[in-house]
Amino acid sequence: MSTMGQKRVVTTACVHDCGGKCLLKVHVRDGVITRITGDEGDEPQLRPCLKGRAYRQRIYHPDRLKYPQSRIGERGEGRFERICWDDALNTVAGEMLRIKKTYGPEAILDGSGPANQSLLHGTSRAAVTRLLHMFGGCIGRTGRMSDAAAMAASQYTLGTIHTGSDPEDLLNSRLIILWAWNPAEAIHGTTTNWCLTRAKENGASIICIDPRYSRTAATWADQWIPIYPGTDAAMMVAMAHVMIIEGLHDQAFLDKYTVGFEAFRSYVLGREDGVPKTPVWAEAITGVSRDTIVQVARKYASTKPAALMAGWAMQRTAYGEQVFRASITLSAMTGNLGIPGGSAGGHYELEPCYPEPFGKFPVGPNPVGKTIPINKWADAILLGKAGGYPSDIKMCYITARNFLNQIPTVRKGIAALKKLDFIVVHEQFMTPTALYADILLPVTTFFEREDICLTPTYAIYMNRAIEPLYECRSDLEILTDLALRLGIKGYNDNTEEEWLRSFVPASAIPDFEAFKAKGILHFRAERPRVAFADRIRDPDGHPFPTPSGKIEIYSQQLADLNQPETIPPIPKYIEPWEGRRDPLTREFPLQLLTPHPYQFVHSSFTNVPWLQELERQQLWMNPVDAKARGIKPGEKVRVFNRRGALVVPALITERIMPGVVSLDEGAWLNLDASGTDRGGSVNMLTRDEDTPLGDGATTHSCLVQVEEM
Amino acid sequence: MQLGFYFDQTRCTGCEACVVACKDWKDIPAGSVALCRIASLEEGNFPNPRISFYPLFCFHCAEPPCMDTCPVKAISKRPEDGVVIVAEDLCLPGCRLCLDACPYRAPQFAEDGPARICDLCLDRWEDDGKPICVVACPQRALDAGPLEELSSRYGGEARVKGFPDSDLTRPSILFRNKKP
Repeated sequence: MSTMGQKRVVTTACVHDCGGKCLLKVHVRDGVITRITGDEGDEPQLRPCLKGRAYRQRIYHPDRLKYPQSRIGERGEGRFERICWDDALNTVAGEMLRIKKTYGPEAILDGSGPANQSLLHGTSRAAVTRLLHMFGGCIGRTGRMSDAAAMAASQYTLGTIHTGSDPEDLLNSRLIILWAWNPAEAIHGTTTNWCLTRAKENGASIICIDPRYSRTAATWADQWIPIYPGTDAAMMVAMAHVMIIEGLHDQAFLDKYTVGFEAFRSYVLGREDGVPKTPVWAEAITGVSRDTIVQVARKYASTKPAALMAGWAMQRTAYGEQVFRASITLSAMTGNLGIPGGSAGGHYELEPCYPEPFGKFPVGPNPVGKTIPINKWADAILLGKAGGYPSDIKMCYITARNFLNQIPTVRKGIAALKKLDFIVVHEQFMTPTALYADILLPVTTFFEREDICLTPTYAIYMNRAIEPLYECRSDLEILTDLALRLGIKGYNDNTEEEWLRSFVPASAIPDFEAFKAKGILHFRAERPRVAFADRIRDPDGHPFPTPSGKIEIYSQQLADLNQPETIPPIPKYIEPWEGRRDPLTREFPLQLLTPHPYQFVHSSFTNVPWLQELERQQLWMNPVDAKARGIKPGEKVRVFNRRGALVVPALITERIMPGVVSLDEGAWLNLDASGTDRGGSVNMLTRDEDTPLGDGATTHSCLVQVEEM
Repeated sequence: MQLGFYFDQTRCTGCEACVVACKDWKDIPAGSVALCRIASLEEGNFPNPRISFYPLFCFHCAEPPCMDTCPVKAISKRPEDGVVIVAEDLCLPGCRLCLDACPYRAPQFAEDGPARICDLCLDRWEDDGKPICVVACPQRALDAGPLEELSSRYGGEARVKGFPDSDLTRPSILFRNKKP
């Protein structure tokens, strides 16, 4: 499309692996993006955050990968030579055919990631997955980093992961408990923060429970309650104790809508194990005073409606399912589940607000019926069949994912990447993962292609703003070309527009052209939708999608798994490994948190100068812990455990509780000659153990020591 | 008439979308020049810490000390709307007396470049728009307009804690304070 001499403004959406999906207005002159502005149209506006605003520097970053490259140095060394697309794709095709023939398709790991989330080019389990499935299959994957334990807990307890109400329903709440939920920094829905502000201005009382006094706590909380990481379930169980002893729980609600409360009650009162789960018991575990636990329990049980907003941060712990099972149980005990202004306390996924599902890029079935937990990808590669994994992995095909940096235990990841026969990476930048590629292929950004951004409540047409830069191609174009070289027929016979039109149901978007021209379509209900409202209003007509048709505080399905120590049938507090009472604290006494950075999306945007200049990567540390170690503000410190070490400056702040330190995830690995990371990549320190039920990450169960340099 | 800002400190999360939006709209690279900055004030001790945010722009003061201090009269105040502007071609490279005079350190310099200050996005007013920082704020914490209108719409106070003393220069900004 010719754009010479033209000025125009086109609509697209920022579709990174972020809890928001925001509208961007792209100002283009002579084929070059000159400005990016936000949604200034009708309410509800989808205003972008600083990342979307800064995107121009990401698109035109001098470090964009510009052409295909082939590795000439050692893996990780970063020495590549420029090659042409033909040579690159012929090499990839040749290696894939060789590996499949020699080892079988299960030797190939689908390393596609979530970094781009749109209907056509959102590569997570789409473009690469389809190709590999058509090629004969690949080793499958279970689990995920973000929220797998919450998903499992919600699924077993409520029968669905769609447990969230529209954020506008927060305006109906009289009490909101932000429990390990930090939307001001992590972003959880584009409009959520604005809803929280309006809820507060409406008079809602807001409590924030978090080891850090985050921007969320600072903006909205009337009361901040610091709690030791990994112990949230203990406080919840003790709150249940208070409610039961004081008779504050909603027995009628429990009788009508739940099964298994008696078993939970028996555990809470200590009839099961001789330990009553009193506020005194929880105080010693959580660091939250008994008085505060009693106060919060009473307030939650007596203020209606009240929304307990459970954040995913607390389920990224050793037995992360328990805390989400417990939060759902509390919301049922207080009768706040399924009512306006309440909350189910579960995973928070929203039900789509359109009647007919949109199409997806079809991946088809995987002929290989074997899986590995994705968070243990490195372990699986290193140990293989001899270590109990179902396959000896020889090749990894990585797209939209900074695999090495963003999955726990980086040193294991490096060893795993060095062990493979062949690695292909599609990337926009030379990430720590890209450094290990054998063939490295440059991909476009979403500004350089057509797509649709779909959320449960709105769709944004993503117009191509500019022509692809340099020699970049989209993942789909690359894989379409590769499919031909692999002799795969029918991988992609459509244009972008044909695919997009085929995805859109006429009931949701009757006029495709009008949607494309306007750019945005809201599917909003008249009133904010309340999860499970129909099941509460009419339990017989709308049973919960669980085996019993009720909220399963006791789950027979979980009991049948017969792993009561790690997956009990009722929610319990299970003492986490690498918690503050682990004997390992003698050597590594500090608990490490790895929150989302406010100015980056995981490891994306970390190289954008406008964002880099705002706040540097630094270790949050309470003055008590700093003084004990002789650490002064701004000084570089060494953070370490047996899995690795990194060096970052210290931020000495009263905004974090003693005994806990915090370092944002996402910063890029930058190893020095001694193997210490100078970039502040937290997964140098985290452990690649999964939660027992959902195969979720456990990055917040992580002990470290800190010393001055 | 005096154009100015309103800042609702209770709404600001310190996200800095305004900071980046300003850089993009004005096409200013990362580095020394930041016409829109957000400062923070951290107070109190664990477990009762507090952090609050406030903006640092050019506030187009009623009595701009930068104007008086400029040896070459490069800085002036528009009579029609009170906006303080810099005639960049007159500004003396390296002089920077205006920076020392400004309690908000608003004048910004790139290397030996002229003083640059917020111009309230006057180009956007012509198209019926508000400054980019205002429309960029996901929290609707910022507004801009004739000061009298802002005052009658929001009320507002002359200062927030941590903000440099405002009696001296009378900056054109009203605040809603975050209570301790």
